[in-house]
Amino acid sequence: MPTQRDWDAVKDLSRRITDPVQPFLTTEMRALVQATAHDVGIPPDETTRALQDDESAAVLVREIASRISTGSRRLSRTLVEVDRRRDAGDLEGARQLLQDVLAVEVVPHYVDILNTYLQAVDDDS
Amino acid sequence: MKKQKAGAGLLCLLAVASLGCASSATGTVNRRDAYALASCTDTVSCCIQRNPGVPEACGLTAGEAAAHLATMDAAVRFANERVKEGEDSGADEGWRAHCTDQYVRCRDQKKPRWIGDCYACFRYCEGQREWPFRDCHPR
Repeated sequence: MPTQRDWDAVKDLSRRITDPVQPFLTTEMRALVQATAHDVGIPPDETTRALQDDESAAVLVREIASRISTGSRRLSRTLVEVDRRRDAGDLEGARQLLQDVLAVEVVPHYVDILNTYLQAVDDDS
Repeated sequence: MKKQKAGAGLLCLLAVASLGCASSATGTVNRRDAYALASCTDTVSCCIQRNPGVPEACGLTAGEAAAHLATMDAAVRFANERVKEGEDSGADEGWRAHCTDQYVRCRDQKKPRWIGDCYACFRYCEGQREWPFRDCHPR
């Protein structure tokens, strides 16, 4: 099961991709990319196709890194606002915000966290 | 503020045998303490903050621990003043505050409770400007 360390590694890989793209995938990196792609909700057949050449692999790696980072930052901001609304007694507002983000979040781990907060808000009621 | 903290620490020490000290027994950290914890930078100061009211856990007397805490409070005030003066870039200031906010959420007893090494995650966040949700997240 991919860890934060794996997510860090794929983000590092993304930063090292050159323009124009040079071959960058080792066997080890290929396995990392497959695991983290799955982790951020990219279908396996799409991953397999993308890994067939360096250009599409680069696009894939950047997408994985983007889902990790964008999702993390959006989640952080969301939780700040959710708690602010909870503290202000605006449970409906907190619930709505979580549902709005759930509608666009694709990373299962982040979806789990959002659902956990939704449950906590329901428990607040 | 410093005297209160030392006083509370001593009371806690006296109470720990019979009643249990809330903050050290259960790991509860109030918001102010959580902010302070986020700023500890060496093993002694981190040890003191992680063992409130139990200075001997760090090989110190209550007086020595209080003196260390006073130094750390001053360091936090200094860091905050530096931020206000704009010595750090706006982006860094925003991220430090944001990481601290997540750290407090990680440490808070309010539901949902989190798992993970909150301080390590805070340090990661400071460096990466991103909270490591795989390592620290609601259970």
